[in-house]
Amino acid sequence: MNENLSARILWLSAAVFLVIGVGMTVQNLNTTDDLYRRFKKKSGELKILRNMETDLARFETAKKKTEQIPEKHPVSLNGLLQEMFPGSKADDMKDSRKDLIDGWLIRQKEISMNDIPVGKSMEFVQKAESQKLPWCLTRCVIRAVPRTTGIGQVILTMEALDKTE
Amino acid sequence: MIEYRKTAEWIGSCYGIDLQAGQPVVVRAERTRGHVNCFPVSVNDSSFVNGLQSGKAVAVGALTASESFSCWLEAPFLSFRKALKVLPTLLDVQLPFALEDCIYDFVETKQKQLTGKTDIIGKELLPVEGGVTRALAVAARMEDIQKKIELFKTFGIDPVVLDQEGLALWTQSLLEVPVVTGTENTPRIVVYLGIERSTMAIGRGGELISAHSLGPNNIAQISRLLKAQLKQGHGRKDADVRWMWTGPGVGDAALFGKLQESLRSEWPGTSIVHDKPETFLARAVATRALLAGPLRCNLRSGTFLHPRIARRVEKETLRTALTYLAAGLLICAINLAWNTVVHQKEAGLEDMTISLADKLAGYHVAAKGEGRIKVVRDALNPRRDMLKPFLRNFEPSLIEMISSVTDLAKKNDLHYETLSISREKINVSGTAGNWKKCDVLLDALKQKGYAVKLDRKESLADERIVFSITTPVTGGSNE
Repeated sequence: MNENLSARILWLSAAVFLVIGVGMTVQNLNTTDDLYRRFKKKSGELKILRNMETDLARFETAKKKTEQIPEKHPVSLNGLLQEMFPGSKADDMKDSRKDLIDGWLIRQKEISMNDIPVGKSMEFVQKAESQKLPWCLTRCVIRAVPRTTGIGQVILTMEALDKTE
Repeated sequence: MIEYRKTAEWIGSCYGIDLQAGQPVVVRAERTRGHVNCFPVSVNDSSFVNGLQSGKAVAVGALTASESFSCWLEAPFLSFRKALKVLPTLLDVQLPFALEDCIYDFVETKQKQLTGKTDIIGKELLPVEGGVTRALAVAARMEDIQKKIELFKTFGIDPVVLDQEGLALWTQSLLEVPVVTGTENTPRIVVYLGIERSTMAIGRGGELISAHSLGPNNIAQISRLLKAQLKQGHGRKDADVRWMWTGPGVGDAALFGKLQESLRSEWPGTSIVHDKPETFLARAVATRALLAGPLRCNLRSGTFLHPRIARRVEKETLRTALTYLAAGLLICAINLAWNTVVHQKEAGLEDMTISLADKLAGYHVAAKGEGRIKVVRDALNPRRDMLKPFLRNFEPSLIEMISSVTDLAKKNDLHYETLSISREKINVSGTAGNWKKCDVLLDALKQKGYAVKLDRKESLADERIVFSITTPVTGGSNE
């Protein structure tokens, strides 16, 4: 009798666990698509954040490298202009500044020159950009003079970093 | 019907017993690597008694052909399950006693697909669709089984298996003298000549047709049975048969010789005497008990089931239940493990995302999903804007772009009137030598990452194409 009871309990337990097991398997299989979508979404989110981190790291690295430059102030753009175009001056020059971070500020100059050899103006830009703390060209407008080649109105917008402290 | 068909495959050795004239002829059989080796043993041998008492070996015997019954039945169903519903009724019709008074089993079944007409032992039947199931039935009266068990017990033997003599003779003959290739259709007749009984098993090739108990006038009976069992269609009978002789009676040379001569005249063919014929049946039942194979049966079944077999059945049932239980537990465990791993991975991913978002934003970001990305982006943008000028120092100069655009002008007959260029935008206007040269400039600027559009029209004066490439104004700048 006891053996019969043991056998019955064993069979009943086997049936119960098999049913539960199969039920769990079916449920897990049914949720596979949803699971995949959740993981894909979370992975996508993490990827975007990592891209942002990498992007920010590029900027931070650029700042660190800039801080390692001994020169903290850019050369005088007027001085460079006089070197390249002695005796002449810009027809118009606008100057602005904007604070950045950690004592750095950005200086922006817009230089407008009429009837100037375009090639020479590009040489001027190259010289300004080759400084230790360079003046970088951010915008250039060239308007050709009719019936002449290589001469035109050149408007250069240049920026340079400057440390105030 | 017998529910437990296995004989004694679970044990490594047994004693096969043939009761000849009320005296047991015993062989000890041991299974080694799929083969059974048999050694004659005296019933008084202490090893025989001790072996049985210790439980290391079991005793197996057989019901004679006169104490049991065997025949082929045919049910008009291809499905064995359907056939099983009618086979007992068909057997009941064949039995000389009531089915309820016996133990029976169907030890072999064959399904046969039928097309067109079917013909069984000379009778023509109507066209049959589907198929038939043929089953070899064995049966014995409970009374006879009880008597046999009691007879064994008088010798102190309690057989675990009671085989059927005719089947045992047949399978052992095939085992010891297999069918020769090319003789699959040759009739084989196995004749056991005992001290007080004789038995004959008739078959063709390797297939048993029937088994019979033989009376004293066995020559005529043998001949009659052979005519009935081996008769082909259209009244033909086989002329060439294979006689297999065994049993203690072959030792009586005069009687055996006379029997052979009489039968061979009507049924010529080869004649072989099995090795050690006096222990043949004992070897047969022992071998069948230890090795799996065709036509196995154990008529000591139902209420006569040996307690050892009954315990074995219980153990196997419990083992099966345990296996299912283990399978169920394993499936549950796998699912639980899966869920745990998935949740851990998901939580880990979420933790990494939260940690990175907090690090980038500089404070804990409570939002989730796209909201979190937006919060982080909004937190980062001011700093990025502050740091852009630092990165600009290390980027390629805008002069390279200007140089590239002016080179294109030289190579493609483009005259620029205005050129306005920054890292995000470019506007170029001028004239081109032909329509296609504008496309060259447009494609080059697009390759360099500028989102530009082209406007052009014919100039009537000098046939040059007036063009204008501009960067459309968008809502915000993307870097």
